[in-house]
Amino acid sequence: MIVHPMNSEQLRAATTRAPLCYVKAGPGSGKTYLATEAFGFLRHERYRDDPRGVLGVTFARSARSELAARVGMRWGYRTIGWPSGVCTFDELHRQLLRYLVVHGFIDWPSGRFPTKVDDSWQDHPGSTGSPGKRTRYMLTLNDEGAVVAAKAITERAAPKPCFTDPTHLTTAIAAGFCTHADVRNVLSAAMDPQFKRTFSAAVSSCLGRGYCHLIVDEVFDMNHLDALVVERAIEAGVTVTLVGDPWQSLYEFRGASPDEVHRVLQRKQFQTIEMPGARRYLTDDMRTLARRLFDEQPFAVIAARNGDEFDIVLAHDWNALWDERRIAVLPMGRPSGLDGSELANCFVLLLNEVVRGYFGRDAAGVVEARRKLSVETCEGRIGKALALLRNPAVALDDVWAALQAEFQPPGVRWAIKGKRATSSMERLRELCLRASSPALGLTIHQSKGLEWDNVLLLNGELSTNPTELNCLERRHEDHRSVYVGLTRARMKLRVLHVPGNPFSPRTPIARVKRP
Amino acid sequence: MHGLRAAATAPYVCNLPGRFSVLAGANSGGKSTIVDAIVLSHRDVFPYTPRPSSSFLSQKVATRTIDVRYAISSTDPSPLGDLLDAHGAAPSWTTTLTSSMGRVSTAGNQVLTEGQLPVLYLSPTRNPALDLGGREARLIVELLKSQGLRDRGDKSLKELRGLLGGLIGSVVNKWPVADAEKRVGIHLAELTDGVAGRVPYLGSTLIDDVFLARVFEFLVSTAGAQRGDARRLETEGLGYSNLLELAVILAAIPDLTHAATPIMPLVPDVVADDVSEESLSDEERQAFMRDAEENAALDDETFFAGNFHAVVLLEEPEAHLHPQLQHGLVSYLKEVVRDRPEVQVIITTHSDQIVAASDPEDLVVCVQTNDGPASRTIKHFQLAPSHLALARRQLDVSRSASIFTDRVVLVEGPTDAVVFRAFARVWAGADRMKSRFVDSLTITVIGSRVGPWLYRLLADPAQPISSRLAILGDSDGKPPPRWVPIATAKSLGRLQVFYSDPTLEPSLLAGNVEMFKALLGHKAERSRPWKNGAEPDVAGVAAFFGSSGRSRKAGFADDVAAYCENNADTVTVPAHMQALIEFVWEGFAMPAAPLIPT
Repeated sequence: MIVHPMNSEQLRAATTRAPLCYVKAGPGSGKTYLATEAFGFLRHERYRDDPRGVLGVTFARSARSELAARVGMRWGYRTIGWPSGVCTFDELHRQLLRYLVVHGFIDWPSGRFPTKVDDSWQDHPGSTGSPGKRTRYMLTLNDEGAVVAAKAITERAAPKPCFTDPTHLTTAIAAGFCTHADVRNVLSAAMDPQFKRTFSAAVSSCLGRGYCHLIVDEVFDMNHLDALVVERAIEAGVTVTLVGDPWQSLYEFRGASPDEVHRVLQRKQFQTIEMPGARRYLTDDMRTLARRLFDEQPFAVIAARNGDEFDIVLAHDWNALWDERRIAVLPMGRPSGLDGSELANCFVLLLNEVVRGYFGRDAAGVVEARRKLSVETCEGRIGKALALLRNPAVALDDVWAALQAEFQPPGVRWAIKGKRATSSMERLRELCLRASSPALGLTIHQSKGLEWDNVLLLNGELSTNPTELNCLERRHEDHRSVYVGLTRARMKLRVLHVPGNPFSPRTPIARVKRP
Repeated sequence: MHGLRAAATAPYVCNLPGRFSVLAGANSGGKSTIVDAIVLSHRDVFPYTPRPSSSFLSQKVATRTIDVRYAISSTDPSPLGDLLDAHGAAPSWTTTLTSSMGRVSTAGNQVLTEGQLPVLYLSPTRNPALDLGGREARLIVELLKSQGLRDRGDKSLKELRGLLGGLIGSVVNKWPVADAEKRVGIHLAELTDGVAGRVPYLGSTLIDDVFLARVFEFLVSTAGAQRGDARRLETEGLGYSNLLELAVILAAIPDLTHAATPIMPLVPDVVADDVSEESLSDEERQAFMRDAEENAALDDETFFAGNFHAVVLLEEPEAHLHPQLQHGLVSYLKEVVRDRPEVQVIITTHSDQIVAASDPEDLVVCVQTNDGPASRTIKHFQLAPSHLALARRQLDVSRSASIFTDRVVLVEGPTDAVVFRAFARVWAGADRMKSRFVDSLTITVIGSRVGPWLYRLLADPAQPISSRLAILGDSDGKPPPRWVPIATAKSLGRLQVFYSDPTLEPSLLAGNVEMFKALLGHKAERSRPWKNGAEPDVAGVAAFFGSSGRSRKAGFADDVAAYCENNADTVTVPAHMQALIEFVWEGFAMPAAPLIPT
């Protein structure tokens, strides 16, 4: 007999037969683990004889690969084979839009729906990364259901790089190209309740004929369109499991709409299963903290002291990590204020080399830097600059010169780097010379879904006064971000007070006296 | 297909007309290439076939590929098609062929999951007794699962596994098995010197699919009147073994129309139902998870998964089969395809019976053209329904596929055929090549007046099956029908119509008066076409065979044939027949004998 290490809450969430179920999952409750187990239960028990697919839906491609790999390992790769599968919402949107095009609801300019959808209009003739105040164009539908270019109402509808001339956009579409943002825009127009009912009905029918169940992970990252798709699935008789933590919604800037999710949960009468999850935490302190956070109770945090050791330092943005000189923390990403000059991008390549040396992983932003410099690989090209950086006798200008000599193409003169690049280089040398083993620095956004034994959180709002308790409010995104930062540690969490970033105002955290 | 066998130099495209197709045509038209391409491009092929030798691959093209495209039919719905439609596209993929260690190796991403596009391949070189009674007995397990699904909605075969487990358990605990095990155990312990803690078992009680298959491979047999008379398959004739294997395959394909779960719309009272579900204990829930694990393990071995589409590929099923059984086989397979939307049947054949039993729309004729082999899908010719009906009748009446050849002579009646071939032999004379040509020339009796449908079917320049189509008809003293000059012009030299004026017998007279005298001269005056003292003439011969002599046509034709054979030097080949045979002969060259490499 195979012993299932699932606890009661997880078992209940994995084996429920409720048509619509919302798993309110606390941090460290094992959401992906639950989704993996539930997937197998759905495919091989609850919907064993249903020819339609069980579909796992995630937001990020990394999460999609992770879930697909775990389901495949646990249940066999046939389990996630067609018609079942794991996809991102972007991929599901594409499938729905293609269905509408193939079935003649939507008139696609080239007649053939593209087989590949790009992330952005980067490098397309006519697209610009700096549209300034010019009108941006996006795709939408006219009354006849034909795809047309129209003025973008929001920046999110036409993210940079974008088109400021509608003919460039329609030319690119007619040539068979498309981006995820365009798919979203057209599908949003098609599914608008004010638009034709037949379009929404077609989307419902596509979902209902293709799938018997949807499992959506990190449901509070859903935006308006995602929520509409889930509702259309429910109307087609598809059963749904939504897994998420309302506290961990950090993507409002991308259009995530937690309020929308709460509305769907209420309107469709989802059955809620609570999965607070203390599995991550190895100490009573952390268990207490996590439980109080999950139950929205006031909580205490302890200030970091000299001599504490940490595996990770978390902050709200990269700059907070770069500016922190009291501790040896090596930020894993480029400073937020770094200029776009070629030299600044060379600095990111150098940073990447250092990060790889200490932690064996790539720095955030290195792919973009490589692309901007048109560099395929840095193999063997950073070594010289790195050696100079580590030699305190060498002036930093020589490090910059070495980078320039290596990467500047002949006949080209590079612009002068900004101040931020200069100061970041100084800090990088300091870290290389002074710290034998700096702690890895990450933003809270990057840390979502991850865990470490000992975590230091850089924060300017939390009170570490032993006589005070902090109260977070879920409706503020920056409070939710604090919540995520507080729940990453398995054993020990400490807070280091930092002055807030003057450019991103924070909502103050209410304090109460400890009883 | 490109870069293998018949598609060695140029791409070869084959469009299958639907879920039932019959590939016919002469050798080297590409039939086996199509079969090989289907087998090589599909991941799940039963029975397991070893990869062919690399000599399959052409060295003349850089990348050898097989492009496979399925299409969803709006008029022929199927369970898989319905599901694919919701997911937006029919499967299509490219398989790339490379050579590895002297064998063909394939790479390609068939998009569907294992078990959803299974191919069941019955090759003419297989041995059904070995397949069913050997390692491929797994098929029988699939058959049992399919039956379980039909009868009880459960394909796990739990009960059967339990029964067998009990039986085996009771056997292995009995003398002498238990005692023998003990003795082997002692030896093993000595051998391993107590290192490994393994205990040998002569009998296993784990009843998985492999075990079931092993049990049933001994049970397959065909019976006389009673089970007791049943003979082991190895001793049975090949024909019946072939049919039995086919029957097992067809029955083993699960019937999706029985298994389909109705899609239930969400109703609110399901929510109320679930209140009781909330009170389940952890143990009960763990049992669900265990069930899911067991089912996952079972599903991993299933050959047919979910809404599958099974392709049954029958290569030359006529082998070892009586012609009547061949005809019946096709009718039955057509019925299966009609009733089972998840089944597709593809047959390759050289059998007249099998082609004749099919509808013309089912046929794909593989031909040799100047540009190499090609395939012609008759359904895509868009023939008028009346033309198709005539073609169907021709196949049915003649029970012959002989119209589908490269050089073909169509005649109206059997006497024309007999007489024409006799004169053609005279034409050939002592020329060995011409003689062989005439001997193998296809002369097909249409049995009625030849109509334009034959031209559309065989010699349409857009999709020609025949490179030379000659028609021998009676003029009956009238000008040719209007379609003849049009079709002749349109066919770009592929079609010619020749007339016996006004009918067969009088058209033979010119130059052969001696033959007529020799064959009919001894008859009474009223039984021959000329008066005493007069000479035979065209009008008289025409009048005679058109009235009182009609019943003598067949006998006369036989006599003409015999006369020609014995008097080849003196008979004259009638001009229209001479023209016909030269038209058909033109451009014909015997295939060159293979050169012996030096």
